[in-house]
Amino acid sequence: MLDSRMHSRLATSERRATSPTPPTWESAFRSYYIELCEYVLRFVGSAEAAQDLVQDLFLRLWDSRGPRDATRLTRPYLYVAARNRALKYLRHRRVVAAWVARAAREEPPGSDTPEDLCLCGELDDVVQRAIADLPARCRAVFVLRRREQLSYREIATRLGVSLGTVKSQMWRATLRLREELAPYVSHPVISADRVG
Amino acid sequence: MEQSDLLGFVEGDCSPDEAAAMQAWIAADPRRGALLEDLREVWRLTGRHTRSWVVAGARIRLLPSRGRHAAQGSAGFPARSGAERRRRLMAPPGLSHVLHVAMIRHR
Repeated sequence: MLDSRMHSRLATSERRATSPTPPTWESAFRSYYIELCEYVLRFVGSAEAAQDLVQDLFLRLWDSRGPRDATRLTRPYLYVAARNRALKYLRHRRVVAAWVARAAREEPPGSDTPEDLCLCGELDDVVQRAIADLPARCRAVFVLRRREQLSYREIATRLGVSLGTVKSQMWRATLRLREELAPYVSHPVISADRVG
Repeated sequence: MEQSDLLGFVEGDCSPDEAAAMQAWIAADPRRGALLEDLREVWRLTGRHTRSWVVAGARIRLLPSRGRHAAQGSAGFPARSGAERRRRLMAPPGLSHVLHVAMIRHR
C-alpha cells in the first residue's frame, strides 16, 4: 500500500517539476482536489462539509478566472484559501474556540522531498509487518476498511459478523498499530486508557 | 462520547453537527487531542488517503452549476448548486448540536 503511495507521490512530484505550462483550473482541480479535501477534513471532521468547502473554493476560482490564475491556482495559494474557508466555517458554526485555535495552528503539509520518499519506502516494510502481526480478525477488518475501502456495514456482511464487532475490531486494530508504530509517529504516544 | 468515536471523526464520517460535538469533546481535554493526532498518524502510515474521495463525482457536480459540460449529465450524482452549497455551509448549527455542545461545556 505504501509502495503505491510512494509511486504516486513520485509521479506527482515529477509532474510538478516538469510541467512547462502554467496551471489551469482543470489541472489544479485534478492535482489538488483530494489533498485539499484531506487538509480541510482535519479542520472540520466531516467529509461532507470538507467537500462542500473545497468545491465552493474551486467554484469561486472558476468564476474569477483570469490573469491572476498563475498565482491563485498554485498549491500554496490553494492551501491558504482552503484553510481560511475552513476557519471561517468553524467560526460560523460556533465551534468551540479551543478547537478553532487548535485548527488555526495547523500547518499545510509540505511537499515531499526525496528524503521523505526514501523514508516512506523504508517504512513500508515496518507497516506491512505491523499489519500482518495483527490478530486475524482485526487484520481482516482493518485491511477491508483501509485497503478495499469497504463500509463497516459491507465488512460486517462480508465477514458474517455484527456491525458492533466490526467497529470494535477496527478500534482494536488501530490501537495495536498505534503502539507498534509509535517509534515512527512524530510525537509521543499517550496510553489510550489514560485518556478520559 | 467514547474514544472509539474518534475513528469516525478521523475518517470524516460525522455529519457537520456530530463533528462540532466531537470538536468540543476533543477540545475539553488535551489528551484527547493527542490521541486524535496518533490516530491520524496511523491513518497516514497505513494508506494513501483518509477515505475514498470521489473526484469525478465532485467535478460533475461542479460544472453543471456553471452551465458547462451540462450535456454530460450528472451521472447519478446529485447536482448541488453553488447557492445551495453555500446555504448548507453557512446554515446555523442545529438545535441538537447546540444542546450537545452546551452539555459538554457544562460537564
